[in-house]
Amino acid sequence: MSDRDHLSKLTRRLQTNTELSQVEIDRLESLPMQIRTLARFQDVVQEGDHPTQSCVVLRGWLFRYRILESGRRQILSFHVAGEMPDLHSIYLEVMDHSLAALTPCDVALVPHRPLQEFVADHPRIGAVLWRDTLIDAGIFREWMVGIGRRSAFERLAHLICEMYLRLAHVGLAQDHSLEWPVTRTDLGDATGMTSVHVTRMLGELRRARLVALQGSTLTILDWGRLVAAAGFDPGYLHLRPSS
Amino acid sequence: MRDDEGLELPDRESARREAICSLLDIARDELPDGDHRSFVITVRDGGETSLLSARLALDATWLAQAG
Repeated sequence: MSDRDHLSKLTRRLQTNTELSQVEIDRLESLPMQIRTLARFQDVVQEGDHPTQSCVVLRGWLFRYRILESGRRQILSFHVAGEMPDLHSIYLEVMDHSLAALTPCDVALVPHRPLQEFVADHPRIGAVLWRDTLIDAGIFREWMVGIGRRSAFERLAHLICEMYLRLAHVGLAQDHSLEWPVTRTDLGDATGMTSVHVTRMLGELRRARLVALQGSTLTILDWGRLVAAAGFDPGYLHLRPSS
Repeated sequence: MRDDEGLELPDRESARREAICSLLDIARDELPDGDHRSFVITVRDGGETSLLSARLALDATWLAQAG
């Protein structure tokens, strides 16, 4: 696979939210980069690091997290192919959280300098990437609503709806079925619940015939009812209807 | 509800903590739902021996008539 093919995942993902011109696509896909393969729980960057590059997820799931002094971990977000989970390190010199692989992953590391030059040459790309970080912030707001105000059942249902749509829009999930590599401990750390409670809630989702889990494949049995149970409104993902 | 998959925990204290924190999660989801509720969790080891029982109870009582 050429470098270009790798970065086409990024352009495809950006195009789920924004229209890109051919010139912009060509320039994005010819950015210099280095491929790195990561094992589960391997860090891409750690809190306190001064990164000089940002990564594009090519394969697998990554997650952003913080660990408190007590050792408790909060997972802040999940990231799938085509996303740039540490794009903000272009302008924020010191990482205020860490980014690690949830599954075995391939990432493309794109140095900041050429990315900054690209944005300087094509102000519209600056707007596209800005828009992407704003959507990222929108997802954080939705998670905050979930952790603060949704029931555990709604929170889990909501996360499943969100991840399905994010994966489906880049062609990585279809027919209401998705690869679900998130363990109960990871899910608990992402939704602010104990693993025991996650197990209870997954059981309820299954008993309500909303989802089925076989191995690592999660199937949504009734999308309409799952969306209603979660109170899920995909507006915050700002997906383009055409994609 | 019975969890047949279980969890790997390093020691007894972690199991106690997980059980008590789970009671808090469950209560947060289920309450308010009536004035008298109690939630019980039992921790078993891999050999099905019960190690710990934890109970969290709610008792809400009116102290004055509605005015």
